[in-house]
Amino acid sequence: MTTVADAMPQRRQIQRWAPPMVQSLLPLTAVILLALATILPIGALLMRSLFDRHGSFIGLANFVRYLAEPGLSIAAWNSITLSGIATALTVVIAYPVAYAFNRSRMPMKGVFRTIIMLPLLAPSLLPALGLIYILGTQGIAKDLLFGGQLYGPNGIVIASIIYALPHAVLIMSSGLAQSDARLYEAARALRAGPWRQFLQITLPFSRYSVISAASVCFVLIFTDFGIPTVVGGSTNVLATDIYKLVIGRFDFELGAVVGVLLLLPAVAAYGIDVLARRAQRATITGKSVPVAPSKSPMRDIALTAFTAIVCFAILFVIGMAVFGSLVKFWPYNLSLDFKNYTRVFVDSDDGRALIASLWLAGATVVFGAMAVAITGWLVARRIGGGLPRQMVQALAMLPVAVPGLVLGLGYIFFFNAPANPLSVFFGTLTIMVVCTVAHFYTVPHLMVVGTLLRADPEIDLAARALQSSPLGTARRIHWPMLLPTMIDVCMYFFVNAMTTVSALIFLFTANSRVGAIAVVNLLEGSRFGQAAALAVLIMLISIFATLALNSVKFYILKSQPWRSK
Amino acid sequence: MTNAALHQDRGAASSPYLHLKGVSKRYGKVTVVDTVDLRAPTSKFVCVLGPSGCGKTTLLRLIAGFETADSGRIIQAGNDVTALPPERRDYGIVFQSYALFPNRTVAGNVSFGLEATGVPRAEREKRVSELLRLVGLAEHMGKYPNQISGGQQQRVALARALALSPGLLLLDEPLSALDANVRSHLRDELKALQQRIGVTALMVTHDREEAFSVADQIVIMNKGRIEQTGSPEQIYRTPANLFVARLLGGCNALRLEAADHNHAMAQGLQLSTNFTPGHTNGSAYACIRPGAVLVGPEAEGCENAFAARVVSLTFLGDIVRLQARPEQGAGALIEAEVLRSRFETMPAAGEIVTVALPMRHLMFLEDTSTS
Amino acid sequence: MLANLSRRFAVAALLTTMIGGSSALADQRTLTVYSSLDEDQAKALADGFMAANPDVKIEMINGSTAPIIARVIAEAANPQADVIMGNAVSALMSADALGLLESYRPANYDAVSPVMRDSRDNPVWVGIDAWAASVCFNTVEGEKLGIPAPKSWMDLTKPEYKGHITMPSPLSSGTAFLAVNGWLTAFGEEGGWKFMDALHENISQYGHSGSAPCRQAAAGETVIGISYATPAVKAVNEGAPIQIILPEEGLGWEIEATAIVKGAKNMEDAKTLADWVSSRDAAQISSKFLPITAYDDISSLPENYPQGEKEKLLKMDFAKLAANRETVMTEWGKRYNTKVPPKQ
Repeated sequence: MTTVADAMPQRRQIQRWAPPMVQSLLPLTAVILLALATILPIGALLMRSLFDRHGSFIGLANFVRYLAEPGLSIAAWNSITLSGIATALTVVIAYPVAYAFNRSRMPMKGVFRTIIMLPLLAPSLLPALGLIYILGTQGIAKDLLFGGQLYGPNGIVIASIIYALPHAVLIMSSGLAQSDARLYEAARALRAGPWRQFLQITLPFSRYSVISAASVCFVLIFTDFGIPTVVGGSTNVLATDIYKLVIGRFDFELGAVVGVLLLLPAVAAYGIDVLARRAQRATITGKSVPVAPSKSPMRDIALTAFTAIVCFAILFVIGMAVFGSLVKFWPYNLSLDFKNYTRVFVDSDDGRALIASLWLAGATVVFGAMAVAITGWLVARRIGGGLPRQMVQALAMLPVAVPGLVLGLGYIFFFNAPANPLSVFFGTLTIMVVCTVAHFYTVPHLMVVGTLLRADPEIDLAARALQSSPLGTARRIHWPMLLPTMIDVCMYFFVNAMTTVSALIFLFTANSRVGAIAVVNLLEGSRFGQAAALAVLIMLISIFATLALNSVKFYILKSQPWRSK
Repeated sequence: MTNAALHQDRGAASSPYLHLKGVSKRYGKVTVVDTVDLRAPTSKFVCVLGPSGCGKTTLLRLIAGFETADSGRIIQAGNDVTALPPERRDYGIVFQSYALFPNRTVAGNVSFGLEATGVPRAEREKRVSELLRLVGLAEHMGKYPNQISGGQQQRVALARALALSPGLLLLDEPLSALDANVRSHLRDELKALQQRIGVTALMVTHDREEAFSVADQIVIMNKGRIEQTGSPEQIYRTPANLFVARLLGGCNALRLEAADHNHAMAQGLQLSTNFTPGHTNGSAYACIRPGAVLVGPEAEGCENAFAARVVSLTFLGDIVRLQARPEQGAGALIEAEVLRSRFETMPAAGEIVTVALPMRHLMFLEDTSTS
Repeated sequence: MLANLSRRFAVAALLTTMIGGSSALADQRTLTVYSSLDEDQAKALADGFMAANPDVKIEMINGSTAPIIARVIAEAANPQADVIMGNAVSALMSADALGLLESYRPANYDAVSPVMRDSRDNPVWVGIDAWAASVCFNTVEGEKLGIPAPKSWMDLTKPEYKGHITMPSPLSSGTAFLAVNGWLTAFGEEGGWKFMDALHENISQYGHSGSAPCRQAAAGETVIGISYATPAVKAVNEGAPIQIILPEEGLGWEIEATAIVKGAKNMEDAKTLADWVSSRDAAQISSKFLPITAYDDISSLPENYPQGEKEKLLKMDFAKLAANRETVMTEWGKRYNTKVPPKQ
């Protein structure tokens, strides 16, 4: 009989173990690189707002100078009120839509969801452009404004709603998806009708996601620069002020002041969001049972109709932008041709910009995905000392509270300082990749952390006890767990890198101008058709990439049978 | 050569396989493990038993190298491993949560450590099937952890822990997440397996039944300190103090007020004893297990018998738990567990019955926790 | 095969680095050029240069007059641009006052029209063309709204045009700046500002790009755009119902010129470009966009280009205009800045 002893290796040699690098050097490297990409540029911006052009400290004199600038302080007021109105309307529209997705038996949820998410795949300028064709002076439905003007508050608010809507729906969906059917059963046992159930359970329980959505949307709208550029008319807002001051006048000191003014509400809104999410988590216990929507034709018809109207509006706006890109000469010659598209590919810098966009997006995906995989892993699996790990987490959380314009401006101050040896990268695609990765860092980092946190921490201890090095465990255990999430991470980085404008508008140079910025430039020259064509191409690339990555993800999930019971 | 003999070779017969000398661990100002001395003899099954928060899990993590001791030494097989990282130590570990790798099959889990240490494929496969046969899971080797039951998962965890033929098997509450039935079954299997392969095992648990059924030696821990070490029988019969006695089962404790030769006064009850209690300062108690208390006819005529009023009755199947308050004395409540079959008719609450505390079962214990 | 994905990931990263690196190592030398010319004209000139100098590649940033100069000033410590190919002379002079331009006498310096070159001993600029303010009027929208075509600048202050005029901001656009200078010349200092106060009441939007108001008029987004002729001609050629009006009081105008940035990283190629831009070949290219070039004898009227522009040019004191540039811009900003949207 074979005994276990026979099968056992008689003597175990001392095994290789974690190279100290992984546990000490890697977290430290991550801290340094993240600091270079986030807090140091932001710090440079804050410093700059307190110094004059020649580098001497002048306290708040720049802020005083800003207040004295004619018309500039009006911009702060415009920014706050318009963002507030647009945020309120976005939340009011998004809530029923999110409710329909999660708490109704609405048909064709997949189709509706895809349409609602469509604006995410295009630069924020595309809906604004579509609006010009619908509500502009020559718009086909300009009477909807009852004689009002698109350019100005109307345009900013409407375009901002379309831009922010998918974000709001996503956030509130996650709030409404986390529910506890037991509460509703208890309410029914207490004879509460559907309306009372909604008012006393659904609404209170989703209020934190509403707050969260509102704060996220507010920051998005408050700091967006594309929309007011296109449909803002003569209405000044902070986001365009900072651009005007920096690019128009190269007044970096006042630019830094506006940067600070943009940063403060963004940080405040982020703080509110964090508190709301924390409170939201506390309302859901591990034992919660998800709600299965009951049968209620009236509710479903009403919600479906509402969602359909919203989807139609989105499709209409984007569709009109597509139409506008195909029209020969708006509004006097409506015959269609591909001239605006051929111009992108033949004889134009815009084609080159589109290719630069692909490079930017590709490099952002590669480096961003690698970086978040590493930092998310360090944080979630507690690699290395506590302090560096907490610093990695804090630095990774920072960018979400920083508007792209502010980050971009900080990059100028930090990376273009002659004393900085890294200034050789300034004006290159490299620095734009770094900035884009940093700008969009938080969400994918949290995606990785979330996925890896779901695995029992004792798994790592078991692996260590089995003589596996941290990197070995990462490769053989964590990576397969993480793989589908990494596809989502890639999708997030790709789409955002394709469509972002705000973080890059200060950083591009002749040979690093990307597609989304080319759209801004075209719009500034009022070349609507060409701008629309380029924006549509960017959207098509994003759609294609999303489809491709989704099929990769499908394939990965299929090849990991251990995920399903 | 038997496996037990193999393990015997690792440490000299006289010295323990695992020896903790004055090991302490503090988190901030809290001392979680306080100058612990522990000896685990070769091929023996040692159980560290204590309530939650007593520091037993930290002790295990110190032995595993997941934590580093602030002071003291940990000697394994004659080598000082105090400062070694887990990867450099020689043990297998089983967690309460199983901690199986979800993305690896049963076989993949077991072979993980073999792969990490570069064991050739053929040898690996042979060893994996050996181990899976050993734990009775040979036919499940291709399944993923979420496709098998909790008991099976724990067997996989055990096989995985044994894959590298460790000198020491560490078990962190390995059975507490399982159903009662599976638990008792697996407990017996665990003991049999340990004896068969002769590995030195150290299990941490808060379940006294578990400790009694598997341990060669039990270590009682409380507040970071070791209260008592000994065989299960030893510890049960002669608990070192009131804490140990209570941890190992219910215990009537009557505060000792006075004592002289063969007599003691405990909460107003005059007790005959067969030895003299040491002292009667406020923390000394006269103790007796509920199962040793006599009730009714068999109590009559016994020494230390009192008339007592039944306060409550709880039926536990064959056994009835009865609480009674002696008519004399200072309101001491005595709990007895008696066989249902000893009574023709059970006394009802409020009735007067005779309760006896037989002299040979009386223990005089100190409550060290209050001092 | 999925286990391989991580490896592929690494390979992809490596490839990116390699390709990214190799593109930087291309054989062509690159020349960074900032331009405020009409974008199509700038592109045509760049293409012409690259055809003549195939080993040099132009990387160009197009922008409005003031931002381009502001950019050069901001980058003084670490100059990014080699050549400014086409910027208003008044703006170039303010950069020169800060010592940011390299003095260079291009090969064709003596051949260009004397008016079109820096006449100082150490010249920093040489002219490319001259351009002038004009008005784009959308006849279709005008008819719809019952608004007649304006004939003069003064007409634009009439109440019927209220909300129907867009113009660029002189804070960024060279076109606007020369229009403002034209008004200050035609109506005098006081009369000029009075005119602008009245005009301000009718303006719906101050833009950034000098050509945008005309494109807005072409798209019917506004009825009247104060702009210059080149984009208007292009819109007309594309079929826009645009009438190009040269107001009777006369047109503010200015010279667009080339200058080399001091500390240019590619000084030799920068000089090659400056030589070429002031050549007859370059002037031939520019003449397809506007009638006045650096050579008096190279002048053609592009199709649909308005007649008589040259005759309506005001007599302007460029030295004084350059000197007063900051003052005028500050004054304008104080009075009207609240309506300026951003623009590069």
